Amino acid sequence: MKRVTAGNTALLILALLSAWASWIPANDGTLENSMNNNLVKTLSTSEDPWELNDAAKALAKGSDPIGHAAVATALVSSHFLTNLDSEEEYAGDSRHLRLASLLKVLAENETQSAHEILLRASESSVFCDNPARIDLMIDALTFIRPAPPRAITFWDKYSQPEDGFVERTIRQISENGSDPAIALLEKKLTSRDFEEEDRAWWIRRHVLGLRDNVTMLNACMRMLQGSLEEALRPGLVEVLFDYQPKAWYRPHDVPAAPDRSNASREALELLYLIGQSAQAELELDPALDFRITDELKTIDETLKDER
Amino acid sequence: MAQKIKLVLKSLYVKKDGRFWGKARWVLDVKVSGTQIGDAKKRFTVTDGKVVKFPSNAWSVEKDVDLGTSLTVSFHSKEVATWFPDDFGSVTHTLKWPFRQSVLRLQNKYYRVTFDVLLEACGELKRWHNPTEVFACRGTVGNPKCVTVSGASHRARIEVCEVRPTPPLSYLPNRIGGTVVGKVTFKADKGKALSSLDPINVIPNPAVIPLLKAADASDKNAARIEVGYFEPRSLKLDATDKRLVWKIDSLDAKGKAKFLGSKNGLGVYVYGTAEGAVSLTLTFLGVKVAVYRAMIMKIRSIPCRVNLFDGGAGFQTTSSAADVVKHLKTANLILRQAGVELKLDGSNKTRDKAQKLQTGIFRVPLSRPIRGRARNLSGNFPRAARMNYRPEVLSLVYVVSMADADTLGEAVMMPFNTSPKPAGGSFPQLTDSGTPSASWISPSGVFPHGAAAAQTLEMMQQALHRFHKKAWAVTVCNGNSTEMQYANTLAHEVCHAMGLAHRESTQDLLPELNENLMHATEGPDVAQDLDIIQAKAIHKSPLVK
Repeated sequence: MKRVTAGNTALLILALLSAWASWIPANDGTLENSMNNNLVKTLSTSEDPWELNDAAKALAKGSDPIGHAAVATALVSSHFLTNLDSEEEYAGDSRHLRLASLLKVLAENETQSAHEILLRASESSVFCDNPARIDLMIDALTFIRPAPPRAITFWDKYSQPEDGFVERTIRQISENGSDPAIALLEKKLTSRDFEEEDRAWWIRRHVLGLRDNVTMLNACMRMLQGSLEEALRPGLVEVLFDYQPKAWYRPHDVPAAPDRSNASREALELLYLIGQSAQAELELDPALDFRITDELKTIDETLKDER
Repeated sequence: MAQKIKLVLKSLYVKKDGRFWGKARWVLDVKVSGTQIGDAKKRFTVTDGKVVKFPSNAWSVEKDVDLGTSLTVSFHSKEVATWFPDDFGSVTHTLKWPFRQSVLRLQNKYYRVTFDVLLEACGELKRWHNPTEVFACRGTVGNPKCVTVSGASHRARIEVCEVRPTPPLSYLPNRIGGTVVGKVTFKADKGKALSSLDPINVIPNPAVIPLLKAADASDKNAARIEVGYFEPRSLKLDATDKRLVWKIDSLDAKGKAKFLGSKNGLGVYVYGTAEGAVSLTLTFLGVKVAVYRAMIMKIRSIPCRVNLFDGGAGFQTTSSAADVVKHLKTANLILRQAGVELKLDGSNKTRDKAQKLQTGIFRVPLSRPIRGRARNLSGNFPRAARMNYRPEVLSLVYVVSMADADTLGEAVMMPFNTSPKPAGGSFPQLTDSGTPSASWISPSGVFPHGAAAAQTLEMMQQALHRFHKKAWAVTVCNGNSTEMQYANTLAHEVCHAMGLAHRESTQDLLPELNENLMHATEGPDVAQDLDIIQAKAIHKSPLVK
């Protein structure tokens, strides 16, 4: 990666900082914080990776708009990014980059401005110039719930066939589990751009964790009624009613099915409808048919008990 | 009545479970009853999955202890940062009288630290001895009992445990606190990494003793069977001790083995001359004190082909052909315990524009539209695993990363193990009986455990692609950072491909054992062992030729 000189970058960063500060609402309580001023200066002038790491994380943990503005600017600066982690470090595990811990701090900071930093970086061509950074952004956005439209746009962009990110993105949007993320998952599950076997896997691996979620169940209803190819429908029904971890998953990635006793009444009612409709309309394997009958009986009893 | 105890900080393992992101510098505050161990200002750069080893002289303390004394061991890690450093928490443990020589593992959600707890060695009669310790053994031929300082009798105890590294005391049959044999040369016990430069028999007490021609057998390839522990310490057993005599017996009238060199002392070299099951009985002054059970097998190969994926910057493995050769050699040190070895396939046939780098190792170029095949692989028949493969030859697929950031490798395509499926069952199973039990699972048949019980191992589901049924593959990614970690990941995943499940919870029906290679999350410095039931299962895999 090409490195830009510190002097030129400092001027650029100061200019960008001014622009950002005008966007962020003022917070007089921390604005004059001299420590933060030092940290901001470190971000724009230091070339030491640990100094940059410490300063950026310290600012990211707080809520000072000027500090956040400085981090936002740094994240779209190739000077900062290439000094924070070397080319050699980028060749290894992306989760081992210093950048990873900075993004996690931002993602876990529940202030709007911290999340705005992530979203701005996700739209930056400088930030997204490296696949390891894209990986980390895919992961970091998972913490923001409900997923904002810009996060959905980013995930959508990085979940295309054979792009090298799609498996990670599908994993993370299902982990996010908010309504917009589930809508994106439904879009990907019904997209003919992807091979059926990939989507069959996503159903088993990623729909499972959401199988008692009302939004997901509504999406399942739509998919079973027509938006999903017929060949994939039994698999979708199976994941809702007949969890088979030993048969389905590789040893290092065995997801747990949610405890159905915690499912809401609305979810159970939807499941009941889906089960009945699947038995009436789909050609099901007898073993699956039996499991659905069994599960419907349990659901029916639970619903009766709650009445 | 003072006794000296030494605590040595051996290693720090940062857990790889998604909690810890990035890279951090930690300082460690390690105290034993208020005494600082090591340099509290020294900075350690850590990432998840990393093992930090400590020089024993600098990170240890000796304490005089007495009846009723306790020692509190505390470990605290904190990030080095000028502002708002993260705190990764403390772990503490209190050691109480009577002290025992042991391995102490303390952990929290971020890390696990390992200490050696050492009691002063025997031979210095000016020092006080444990009341149950024998300072002058009065055992006679035919009687393993010794008389202690307190006048009570104590049975001499000598262990030849097949599990290496030796598990914590809580796993083992009761001990009173004797000597972990210093002669044992298992690398991990010494806090060193396995290396491609080590001889193939570096791990002692393998489940499989190799079948070798007498002319070929040497101290570099014969199995090393060694005592790992004895008590009381004052027995002062040594490498050539004539009081210790080993004897080989066939357990099935088929297995035969011979000693290479001496049959006396703490350790012997053994090689097989006929396949089958054998026991090695160890006697001390004519009394049977330990039995070691092993299979005699020909070392069989697992033909494999290595594909190094290269889609350009950001989409290529960081491993070279030379690196791979080292990874395979080191992985074979582990697999040797089960009598198998990865062997590069000699075919030059290629597909998908692959280029041969050397025999069995290929570079697979990925053009821009498909370069994503090298990144973020899932467990679902990844396309890279279907490229440049040879039917029924295991592909070792080197890529950038897995979609699950905490995964270092994955067995993604494999056939069923040919062990039989029980009636009504979906997965192959194998049962092993014998004394001692596999991995000394309780009851092990080792005193004071009762008679060994049969153990059943359940194996994994097959994973065959509908259009590539003869493609078998495991993946390994850049997240592995050292030769030992690559080797451990490869050996672990190859064993999955041969049908072995994880040695945790109830996944394989056997009790969890961190020292076993098939533990799901344990680090490469600990999870290295393969036991006799696993070795039997491995030889029923179609991957083994």
